[in-house]
Amino acid sequence: MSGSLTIVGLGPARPDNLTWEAVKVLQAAAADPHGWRTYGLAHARELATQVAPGLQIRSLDYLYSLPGVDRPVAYADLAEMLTRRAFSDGHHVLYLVAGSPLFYNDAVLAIRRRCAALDQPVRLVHGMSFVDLVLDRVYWTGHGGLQLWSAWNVAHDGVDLDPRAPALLVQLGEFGRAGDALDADRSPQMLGRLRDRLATVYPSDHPVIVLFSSGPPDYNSDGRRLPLSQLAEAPVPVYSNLWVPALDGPGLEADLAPPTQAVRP
Amino acid sequence: MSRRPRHFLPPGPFPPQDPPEPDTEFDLDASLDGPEPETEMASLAEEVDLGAIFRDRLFTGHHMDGPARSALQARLGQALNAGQLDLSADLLSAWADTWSLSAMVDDANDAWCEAPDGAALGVLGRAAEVVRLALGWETTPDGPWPWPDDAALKQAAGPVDPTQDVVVRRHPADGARRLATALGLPVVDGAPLELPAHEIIDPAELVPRRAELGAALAEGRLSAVAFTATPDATPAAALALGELRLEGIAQNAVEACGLAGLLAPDTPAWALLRTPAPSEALKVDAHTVLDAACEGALVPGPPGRLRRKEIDTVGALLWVGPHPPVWVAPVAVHVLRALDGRQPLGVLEAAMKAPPGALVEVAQELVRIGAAVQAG
Repeated sequence: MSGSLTIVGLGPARPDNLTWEAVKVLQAAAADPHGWRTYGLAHARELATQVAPGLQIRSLDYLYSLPGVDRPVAYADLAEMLTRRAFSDGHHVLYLVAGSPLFYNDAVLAIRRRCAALDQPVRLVHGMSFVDLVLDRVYWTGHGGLQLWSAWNVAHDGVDLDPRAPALLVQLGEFGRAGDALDADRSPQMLGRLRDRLATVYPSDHPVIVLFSSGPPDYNSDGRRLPLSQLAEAPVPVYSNLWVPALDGPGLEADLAPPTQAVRP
Repeated sequence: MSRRPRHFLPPGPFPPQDPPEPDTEFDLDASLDGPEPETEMASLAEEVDLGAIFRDRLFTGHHMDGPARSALQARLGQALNAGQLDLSADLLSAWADTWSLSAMVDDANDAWCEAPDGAALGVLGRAAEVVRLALGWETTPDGPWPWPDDAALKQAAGPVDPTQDVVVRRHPADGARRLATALGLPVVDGAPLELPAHEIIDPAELVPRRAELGAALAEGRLSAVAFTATPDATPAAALALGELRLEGIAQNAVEACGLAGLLAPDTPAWALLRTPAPSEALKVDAHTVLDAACEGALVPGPPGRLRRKEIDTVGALLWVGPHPPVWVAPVAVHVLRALDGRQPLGVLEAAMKAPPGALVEVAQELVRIGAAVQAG
């Protein structure tokens, strides 16, 4: 069998953020529907078909609604199924993911590990990560490094931040360990726990910045600077992130940067 | 005088299947010059398609609008009294759907008999569930189609003659043996139903054979996999079923409509066959005169709430058209019923002794969802 498995990162949201490599792969698959089998979630479908009209994408949305199947099990099953389809059945498989395949993507991790175990190659088409967008509303100097954590890790898993370096805590709106539900209205629960955990290290008036996207169609980067003590007073949009400046870091890193000018073709 | 032998086809969804016709000049010549065709005896028999007979009797707007709705209402009352709230929810949902089905099912039946059609099959599939619930019948061996009780089968078949009448089996799962038992007739094999490639398996085979079946579906060697019973609700079975649905072109249609789904792989789910009622951009005030655009009823809760074991009176707005029911506060039904196309809302408000502005507010909402329209 001479199949293949390609993971395509679609970037954070807009077609403009797709790499040229990704566009070429998607358009090739659209032009040869019998030669490629393409899989992805609903948001990936919307984005991919904007640059590759007619691309037939098999919906993986069902994986998130199976009773009794949590995310780790679903991801392992997905990895088994896609590698089987590619390397046992001999199909050319495309798996589309939002953002970068390498940032906070447990499904991709499972696929890569399974390919390694099978001694089979996997092609990665890199995508722009959400971090690139998020950072445009702060001034990260890089001088003190950067801590990157899931908000859940800090709020619930006992991860301690180093106050000497700034931290980017991602996915504030996620309130389930397995990432099984996203609901902005329930984000204050997460924020309350996060505030209390951060308050063991940072003073209550330490500035923090909530970073989020304006959503479709423009996906502009938005930010809200507030003292740590007020972190849980209002919900935040799903997929919000939190910037926590270092305690004694450059003052610049505690500022909310103005919006960057969006350039639209 | 002896009558022609009759060949009974079992109840079910399959559209009429014409015998193959010769398609070349050679065939025509051969049939003219050669010996009598072997199908001569068969052509003398009268084909009685019980599927078509029951569809024409029960899958009609008239039946949905009258007997089916009445039967569902009676059965709903019985189920509620017996505390069977899951069944009550199914019956209430079916009862509410008789309004839209009454407007959709005749066209669907006509279209399906003309040629396999996904939208038509989707409507017929829901109609099948509604008829089955209304009449309390079981399902066919294949899918949601109602299997008439023995009395109804015998009534539809009329007097039979076991020395010459037969039941024709066209597929292992078409119910021919069951019909033969009910009518006391022998079974003969007829021309097989022309169905795309599929496999019928025991649910216990689903997980062990997942990779093999998934590959066959992905390569198009199978269109769908059907089951002899509902697969267990285990995570492994759910994941395997997910793969079959992902890869099988007709898998969803077959799961919803049985093997008939093989003929119409694009059959949409019932929920996708209806859209919200159209509405007017109309600003309502006390001088506005409105007409009802749908019917309203007070019922013991939307189906979802009944399933949660909660019984509470709510309103149901029901359209004779391809629109889903809308569940509302009871007051909306009272207001809807008061709309008569003659009196302004201010007059109705006074007559109903409603607080100032309250009726206009409800009426505005009714207009927004297409339940009321400007009179005249």
